Amino acid sequence: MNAPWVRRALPALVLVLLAAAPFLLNGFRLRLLTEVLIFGLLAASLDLLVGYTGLTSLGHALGFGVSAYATGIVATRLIANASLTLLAGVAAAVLVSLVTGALAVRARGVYFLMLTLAFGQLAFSLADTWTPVTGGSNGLSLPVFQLVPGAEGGLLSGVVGFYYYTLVAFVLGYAALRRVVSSPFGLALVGIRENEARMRAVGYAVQGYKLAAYCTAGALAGYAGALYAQQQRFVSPGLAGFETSALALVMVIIGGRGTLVGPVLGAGVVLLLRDELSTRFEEWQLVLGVVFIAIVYFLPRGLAAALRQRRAVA
Amino acid sequence: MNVLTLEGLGKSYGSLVAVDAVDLAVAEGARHALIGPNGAGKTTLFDMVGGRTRPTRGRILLGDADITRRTEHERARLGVAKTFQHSNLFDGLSVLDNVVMAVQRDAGVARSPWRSVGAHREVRERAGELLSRLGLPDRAGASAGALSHGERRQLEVAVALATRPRLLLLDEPVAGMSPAESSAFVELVRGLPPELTVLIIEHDMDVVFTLATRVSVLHAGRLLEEGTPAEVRDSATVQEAYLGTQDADDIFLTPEPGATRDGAR
Repeated sequence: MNAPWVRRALPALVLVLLAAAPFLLNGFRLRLLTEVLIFGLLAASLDLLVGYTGLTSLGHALGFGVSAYATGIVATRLIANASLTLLAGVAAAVLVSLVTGALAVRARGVYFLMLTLAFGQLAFSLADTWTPVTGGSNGLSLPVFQLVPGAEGGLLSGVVGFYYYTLVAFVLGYAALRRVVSSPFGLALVGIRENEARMRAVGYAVQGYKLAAYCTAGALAGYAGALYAQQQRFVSPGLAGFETSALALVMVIIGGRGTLVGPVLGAGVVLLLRDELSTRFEEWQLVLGVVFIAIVYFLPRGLAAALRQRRAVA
Repeated sequence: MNVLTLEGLGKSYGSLVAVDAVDLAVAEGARHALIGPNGAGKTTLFDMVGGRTRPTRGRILLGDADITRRTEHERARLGVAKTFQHSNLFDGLSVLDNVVMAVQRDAGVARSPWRSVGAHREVRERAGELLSRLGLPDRAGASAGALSHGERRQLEVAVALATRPRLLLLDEPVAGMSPAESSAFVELVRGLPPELTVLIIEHDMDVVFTLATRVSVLHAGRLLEEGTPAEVRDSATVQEAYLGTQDADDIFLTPEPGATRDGAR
């Protein structure tokens, strides 16, 4: 498992399998896989905060939800172009991250957790009550998105077309995150996680780095949120709420924090379990909870660490 | 030319005066030692210079620049480096990455989010050179948490030097070291660039009188005496205040290794 050629060949193999997925899976499964890639991005972006910077956020759905709504509002009122709405979504997420982050990064530990939770719930309430703009608790139904302006129907209306669109977006987003964590900036984030006092002592403006990490994670969460809105063609307040944030955090923890790939695996496991269990058990959430506890108990460092059998972030 | 000047520097916690109006000038290239009994305010004074504690009165000048209101990381950028009383590293990272962290900040590439750490060749090379200079070239790949106590101190100095400081603050660097480690550390400090100014708090009087070109004695938050090591050793005031004894030999005995030092915090 640890032979160097395996490690080098594995990403290529996974990519080939992902590209071949439409030929291997039925429409239902392919839709699930699309969702896994989107939530994988959300979880991986949260990992930048939790696993690398050491900031545990309980409101990471904020960027996700805000971007999903921005996508929905632009799509219903202006133009249902895939890349334009994506851009609008990410911009909205970055803006909201800048404002909330400027306050949140001043807090530490459990206070950071509470603040991010509060910001997420604020977005949830806003989406739930500002009916003229957000559709309130009914949410917004969105039209089919177009890749090229003016094209009718088009590539994104089918399950397979949308899957490939998501796959390309996923690869770009994941590769960007990989670059960030292996850059000097990424090393500085790990330094903050390891020892904030030492970072200040060698001249790092720690809060600025935290804010940059928070906004980068928020931008990627927004990227995922826009994709999700485009896939579901429906947005509702829950996207920004606690449940989504907690789900993302569970994905990070059972997948293995500080690894990026772990949270993507975590997204796969969580969503697959959710779908499988909910068709078999009445009390599926209870079963899901027990499975999560078992995973955390037996694999405290997560799936990715267990697969690698070595420290992921050294 | 003085690298560090303290003007009436003081710190009170309510009615408790930890440091009371200290005037101090540290010349460029000096090896200036700060000594004094437990609770004299040495660490508080250090923390004010380093930026961890805000003074309640007085000024701190680095060269000609007033840094009294500068934050800790700003001072680091202006050239104030330090090692902590309890060694303080990135234990989960490799020895090399500990130094890289400081070098990349100093080289101005720490904000770069795109090219990989390894691609910044000049940073790695400088970090490697520093490790060689401080006697840790073989330990580059080891985890910092796995180093011995003496090696950790060496690494801390490497990290501090990586920021190319003008002033290096060493807070009880040989505390808890074996005699062999301690004398190796003395050699290391002696080998530092002569233009670098070093301010050192130390209880081990052998170390102080081997290293220091200048000694200041702090007692109950006040500066009691300042002079060359010989002057301070022979000062009657110092002897009296320090231990209430007339016998200089008692004062400058080496304290037991590992004994708790400095009750300031």
